[in-house]
Amino acid sequence: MAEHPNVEATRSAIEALMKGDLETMAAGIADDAVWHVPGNHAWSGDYRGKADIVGRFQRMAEAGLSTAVEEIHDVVGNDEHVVAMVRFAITTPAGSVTQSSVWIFHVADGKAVEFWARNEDQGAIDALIGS
Amino acid sequence: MTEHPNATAVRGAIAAFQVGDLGSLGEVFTEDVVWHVPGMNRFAGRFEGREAVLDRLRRMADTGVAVTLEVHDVIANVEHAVALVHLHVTNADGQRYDQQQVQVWHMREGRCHEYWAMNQDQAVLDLLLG
Repeated sequence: MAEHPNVEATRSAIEALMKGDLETMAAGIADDAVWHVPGNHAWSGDYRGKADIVGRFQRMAEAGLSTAVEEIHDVVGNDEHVVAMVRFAITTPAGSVTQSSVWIFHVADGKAVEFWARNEDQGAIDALIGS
Repeated sequence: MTEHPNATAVRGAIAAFQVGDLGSLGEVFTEDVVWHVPGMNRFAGRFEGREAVLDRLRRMADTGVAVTLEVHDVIANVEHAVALVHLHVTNADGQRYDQQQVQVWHMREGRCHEYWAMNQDQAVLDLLLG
């Protein structure tokens, strides 16, 4: 079976994120999207609207926190959902953690309208980033 | 687009689990399946082989832990199926856990050879299961 168009769009958005190309990534996010960032740290919580979601990435970078997607293990998708299985690293001035993560995108008309993530060890991420 | 056969297989496995039909559930696993159950509770850990996986599910039921799943969606391709579910757990004391769970099923020739689950709040689930 051919890849679902939502899968291709999500791969492109993640690849853009990997290159720091937030503009291309943002093109895949609906204006009224909601981003649920798991955990209990300075950057967790719900972010509403494309501007706030993209702004979060910019502010994290300014604060010295970088995320790097090291591997896109696979992406599966249908008309309503896309799930990406990734290995990613979070680096702060205090150190770095690398984990497996599952990213869930709810999709409408080819754009992400809602995002959830589940990390392998949320406690380790919370401890690294701090509140 | 029609659903991928691996998504249908995982929906079937979850449906079999719900009615306690471990025979049908077992048919979805390869002999050498590896089952990763997250957390720090008595049912967590790494289970190798179909019998070990089914045995774990039997032990949970025997100790009065009831699990029901509501399937939100199952998304799949030839190698992976991901089930987005709502997990309801009740322990022998009647305490309830009600949260989202993501299940990643690694598939080979229509059967699951590796499984990972990620829970919304693992710490709460650990407390409830003990």
